[in-house]
Amino acid sequence: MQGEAGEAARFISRSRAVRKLQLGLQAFNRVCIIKGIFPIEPKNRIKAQKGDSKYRPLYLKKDIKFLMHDPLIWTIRQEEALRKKLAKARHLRDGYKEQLVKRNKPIYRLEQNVLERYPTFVDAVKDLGDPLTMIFLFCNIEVRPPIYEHHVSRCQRLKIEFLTYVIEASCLTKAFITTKGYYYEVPPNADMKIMRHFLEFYIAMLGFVNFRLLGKVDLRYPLKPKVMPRLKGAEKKDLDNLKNLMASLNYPLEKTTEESEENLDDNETTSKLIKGSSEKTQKVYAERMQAEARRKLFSGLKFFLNPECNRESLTLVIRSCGGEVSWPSTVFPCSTYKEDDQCITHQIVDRPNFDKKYLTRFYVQPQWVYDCLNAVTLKPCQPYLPGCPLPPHICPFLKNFEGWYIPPEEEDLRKLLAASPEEKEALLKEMAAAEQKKLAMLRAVNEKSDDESGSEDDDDEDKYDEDENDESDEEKDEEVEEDGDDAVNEADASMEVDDGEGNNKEEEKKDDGKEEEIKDVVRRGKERFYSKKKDESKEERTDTRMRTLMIHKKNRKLYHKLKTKETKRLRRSSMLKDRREALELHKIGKISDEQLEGPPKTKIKQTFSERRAKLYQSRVRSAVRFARSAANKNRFRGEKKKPAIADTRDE
Amino acid sequence: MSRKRKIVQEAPSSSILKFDEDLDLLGILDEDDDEEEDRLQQKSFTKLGLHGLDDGPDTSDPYYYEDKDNLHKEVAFYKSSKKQTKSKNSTEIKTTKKKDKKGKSKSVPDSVEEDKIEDANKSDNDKKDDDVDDSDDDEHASESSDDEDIFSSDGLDDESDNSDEDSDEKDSDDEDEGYAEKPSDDGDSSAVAEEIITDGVRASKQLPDEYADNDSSDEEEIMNTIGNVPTEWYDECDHIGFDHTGQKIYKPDRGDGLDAFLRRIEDPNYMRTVVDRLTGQDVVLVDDDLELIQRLVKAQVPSAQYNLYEPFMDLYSHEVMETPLSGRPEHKRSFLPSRSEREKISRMVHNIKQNLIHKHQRPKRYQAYDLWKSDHIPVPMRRRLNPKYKAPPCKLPTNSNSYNPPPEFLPTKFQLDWIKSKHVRQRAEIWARLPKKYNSLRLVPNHRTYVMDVFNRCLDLYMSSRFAYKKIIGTSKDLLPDLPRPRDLRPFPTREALQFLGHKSVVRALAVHPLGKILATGSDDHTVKIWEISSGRCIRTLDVGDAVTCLQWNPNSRVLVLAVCVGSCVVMINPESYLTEAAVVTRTNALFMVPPEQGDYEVNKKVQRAVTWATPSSDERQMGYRVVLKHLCPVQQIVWHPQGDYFATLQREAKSSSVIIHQLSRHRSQIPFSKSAIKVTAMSFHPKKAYFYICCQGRVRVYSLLQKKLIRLIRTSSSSEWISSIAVHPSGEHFIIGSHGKRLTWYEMEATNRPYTLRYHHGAVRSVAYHNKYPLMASAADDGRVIVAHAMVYNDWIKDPLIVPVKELRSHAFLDGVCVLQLCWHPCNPVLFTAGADGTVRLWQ
Repeated sequence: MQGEAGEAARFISRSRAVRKLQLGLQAFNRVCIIKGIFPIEPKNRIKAQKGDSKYRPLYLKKDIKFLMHDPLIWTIRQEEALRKKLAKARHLRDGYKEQLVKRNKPIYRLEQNVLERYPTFVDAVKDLGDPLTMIFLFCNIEVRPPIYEHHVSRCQRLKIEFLTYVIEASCLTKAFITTKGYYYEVPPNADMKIMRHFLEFYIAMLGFVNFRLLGKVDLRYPLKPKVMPRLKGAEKKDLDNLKNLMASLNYPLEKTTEESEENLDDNETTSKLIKGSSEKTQKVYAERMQAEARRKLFSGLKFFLNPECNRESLTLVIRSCGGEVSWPSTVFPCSTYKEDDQCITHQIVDRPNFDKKYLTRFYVQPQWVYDCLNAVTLKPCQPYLPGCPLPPHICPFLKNFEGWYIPPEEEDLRKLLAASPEEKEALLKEMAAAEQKKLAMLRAVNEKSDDESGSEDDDDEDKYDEDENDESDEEKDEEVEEDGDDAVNEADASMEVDDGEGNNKEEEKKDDGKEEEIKDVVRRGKERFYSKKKDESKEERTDTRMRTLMIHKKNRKLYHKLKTKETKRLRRSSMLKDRREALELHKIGKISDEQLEGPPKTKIKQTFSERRAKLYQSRVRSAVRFARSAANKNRFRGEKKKPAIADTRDE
Repeated sequence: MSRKRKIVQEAPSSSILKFDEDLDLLGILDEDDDEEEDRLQQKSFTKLGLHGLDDGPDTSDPYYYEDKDNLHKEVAFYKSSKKQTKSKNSTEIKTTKKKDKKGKSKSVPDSVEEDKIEDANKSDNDKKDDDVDDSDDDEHASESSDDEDIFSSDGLDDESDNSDEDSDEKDSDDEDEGYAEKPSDDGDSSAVAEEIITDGVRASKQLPDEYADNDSSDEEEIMNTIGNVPTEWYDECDHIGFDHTGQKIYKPDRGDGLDAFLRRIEDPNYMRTVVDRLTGQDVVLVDDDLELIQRLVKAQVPSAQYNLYEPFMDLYSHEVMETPLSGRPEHKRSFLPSRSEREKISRMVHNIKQNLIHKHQRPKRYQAYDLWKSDHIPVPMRRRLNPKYKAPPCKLPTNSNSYNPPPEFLPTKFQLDWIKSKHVRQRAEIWARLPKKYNSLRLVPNHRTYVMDVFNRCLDLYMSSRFAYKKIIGTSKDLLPDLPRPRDLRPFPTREALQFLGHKSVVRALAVHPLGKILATGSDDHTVKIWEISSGRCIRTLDVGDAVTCLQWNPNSRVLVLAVCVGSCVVMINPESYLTEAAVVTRTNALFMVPPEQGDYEVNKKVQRAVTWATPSSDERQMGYRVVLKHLCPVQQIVWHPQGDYFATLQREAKSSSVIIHQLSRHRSQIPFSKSAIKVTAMSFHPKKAYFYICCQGRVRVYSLLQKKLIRLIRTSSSSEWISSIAVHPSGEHFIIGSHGKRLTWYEMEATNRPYTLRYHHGAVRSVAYHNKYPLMASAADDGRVIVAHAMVYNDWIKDPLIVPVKELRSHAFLDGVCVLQLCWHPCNPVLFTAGADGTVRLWQ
């Protein structure tokens, strides 16, 4: 019989499930959110829906059966009943009854559900991404009926707890500033009720996770300052003051056990041991060393945050990397030292015009802190001085796809991360030198443009080139090389160019000579010349093409999907690469604005016949699509009709 | 009125009277007495002209009416007897009245006084009645001075009494009580009543006395019964009417005119004396009466006491009254302590004593404790989520999401223009998601879609259906099969070397001579051309007069015979040229000089009908024609047996005789497959054995020509149902079929169950061919491509053949969706010939 076995018996539609559980749709959603039950895509939707091909969310019958015996459902039903009672009491203006009902409202605790969804602590920690984003969002959200004050305050508390854990364990590895800001408005089309259900579960979950995490770093839960500060009259009244102590992330907290300092083994002996060991252990060791370096990145440094900076996130980064932080006491309580402290090494400024009072310290922009963390090195402060145009902020979440575009800054970052601590300094120096070079070039260009801007505008570009050629020998050489490369590429007939600098030019010349000869040959007879490189690439292309012909039927679709994805990615990366090159050239002044942006694209006017042909084609295409879909429908219904197209072909 | 009549009609009998009296004495007839009282009351009402009220219930309830009638009979008697007793022991007032009547001299003031007394009594009684009634009906609570009102209320009460007998019985005690109190109020009557009440019988005895006051029985005697008759009618008589016993009421002696005059002068009350019309007696009006009359004349309210303009008391006012409107006394239970409350209190006291009552404490909403106890050991739970369906993690941001991204990520001028061209709403959406650069961290504003993004993530988590899929780690290259590189499989044709131009229409037929020097092509322009392969030169052109569908060289290289299908004929041509050896040509000519002798051989009739062997005419012979086989239907294909003596022709339109096998040397034909060979699309000889392949719709049949039976029947898949061509591998162990369903299917003769399908064509396959010597295979399809594949067959049975496509050849032009129609390998070199719809033949090397 239909619908009694197999796929159809495994699934149940949402409306049926709701009816079975005797809940409203909203209550059902709530149960699903809390219990972590979601629709599942069947292997064969038509079979699972008993012949219906329309999309309907399908739940596993097993899940729904499980829900039927869940105490949560009873709580929800109870709440429903109480809500009715409350409404009645309100209408009757029975204040006492109202109070009574409100008092009896069941409070459901979600610990069992947390346990059910995350049977081990590790599971919960693995799935911490969503809860954290949600809770950090709701720290700053407006309190309006579906969201109550206790939600927000709880979120804030959980956030502080989590951040203190991160600081204590100093396990922050990457930090990235995106365009997504700090304060949020709720758009009208977001259903806050649903968000609340999620939030409630996440709050419960993160509460337990935090408890355990803080226990791991030997902190008391709930957090409590190590020494209770003596508060004066007005401060004492303000309860927020104590809370703010914790929120400052900068106050020593009470611990459950006394600290015992662990001494790491001597570096020399371990390094000797490691050198002899396998690659895997070396890799692990390197990672470990890097983590250690990260932990001590800012140790011994004293930071002072200007009021315009984002105190919380900067404190998090600096403290977790072992630095000391303070801020003006007017901004937030618990500042440990003042601005005039002579020991301060870095002051973080986010304003363009800031008069630097003290010479003993660096004035840097906040991005420096994040970039240092990401590169696990103290980067030079020059580019980050206040008012300077900042170097691009690179995403530390590195991706290793084939054909993924990696901007040059990211390449630097990768190099820095891969290098050992000894090599890092050299690398940094190199980078600084390259940067300097670029800057010098830019400066030179700017000066010239200033000089010539008055005299002549027409022949700008040509003159730049000439001047540059005249100016410095190094540059000239480089440019010549570049030009040569370009020429070779354009001709598409280069042999592989060796890296050796001395032989380079000669070889090029030889290549050119060969080319000419061969070109003659081509003209003379029917033979064709294939350059080795081109030939190889072409052969490879044909090779892959031939192999695609033989792909197994199963993999064919997937292959084409992947292929299109790859080609897209490749195209985008090459586009970005070209753009970057063009921008660099534009900076130096080799490319004009018009060239950079490309010619203005105008719509090509179609003739009438062309337009008609296009229309016709589109119609044909749509008709074919329709015929196919119709044929498919027939097939799904179980009628053994041949597709219309195949019929015509066979006849 | 009817009742009255009954009373009058039925005369009392003494025996019943006695019996009743006894009963009465025993107190048995109490209830009846009550009933009787009612009746009496009613009677009095009737006298007062309140018939309607009385009669109402009777008419409505017939049973009741009948019962009452019966009762009445008895009661009437009883009453009459009582009256007799009453009359004996009547009150003083009554007696005086009677005396007055008898004497017909009654002082007017007395009677008035009497009336007044009566009225007072009535009102008193009524008051008491009301008091009693109050307990029953609050509605009649209001007291009023009007008699009629009181009566009417009484009457109503009676009605209710009559209708609800049960209630009557219940209330009887109360009523009795009420009545019992009356005597104390009335001074004189009570004394008489006490006398009457001797033993046990209480209320019933009192009532008559009450009636003595209430009932105007004395008036009854005086009362004139003439009714509404005008008194003038009695002017001449000495009586003015009749009393109820029927005796005349005589006119009183009024004296003569003098008496009247004297009275007028003497009597001070003369002015207020009125003559009663019915009795003819004088009645002196009291001051009150006068006043009443005067007030009536003046059209004033009759009673002077009545204040028309009393201050208005609103019963239903906004003022809340302290006491309820009803004066009903509170119930007993309201004065007693409640039992349930007592129990509740005792329970509370018990709980307090046991220390069971606490202040209500709400459970804590949030509480944290060590939930997991350990990191890795799972807590045993009833349900586990399937890790297969774990939600995919959030996407991490990339460089383009940075607040200060590298410059190449920022939108170009062109992109910005494009955004500007969009609608405002769309523009905002796009703008929110575009990478942007801020010069300092301080300047980063709110993100427009962040909350919405989080919300969408929530929706995804609980609403979108999840499915498990294999995660692909790697690139598309990993999916490519591991095959040897084409460059290692050389030689194979890689490029177009020559074009044979000359045909003016579609070239459908193509064949290379087994020695590999000449090529023959046949086209729709009715010509057959012979080409020299090495130079690409056309040696000969033969006009055959019809479109050539197929041509094949005789595989025997010792003779030079080209079989050409022209319409429904098959022509054997000897294309002599300078390229052919003279010996071969002469040998061939000798073969066809004289047709072979048939001898006793009798040609089958069917065959005779289907084929005729004819010799060509002299003109044709000069062109090179040697033999002409005339068929019934157009011939589509011709295949030579490898030895060169036999050949088969295919005519698709001829039904049972579609495949005919001919023997060239003996000019004989036979039709071996009669019924089974229907809808044949392609056929082939086995290269080594005497096997014959026939491709029909959806199946391939392999026949043994020696055994004359079907060896193997192979069903093709439905997608390759329509077979266009078949090629048998030179080893004879494999064959391949090309179908209109874009597929090539490779079969092994021994293990045909598992064919291998090649799906690399995108159009209907037109032609397939194996190379004779090299492990090469080529196929042409309607997608315009000729695909050359390396097809290595191993002697080892277990090892599967290796098929590697090595080259795609594409240069023919399309004509009506058709491109390459026929292909053919060079017999010894890796050279491929293709014939296309564009009228060219190409050589691939």
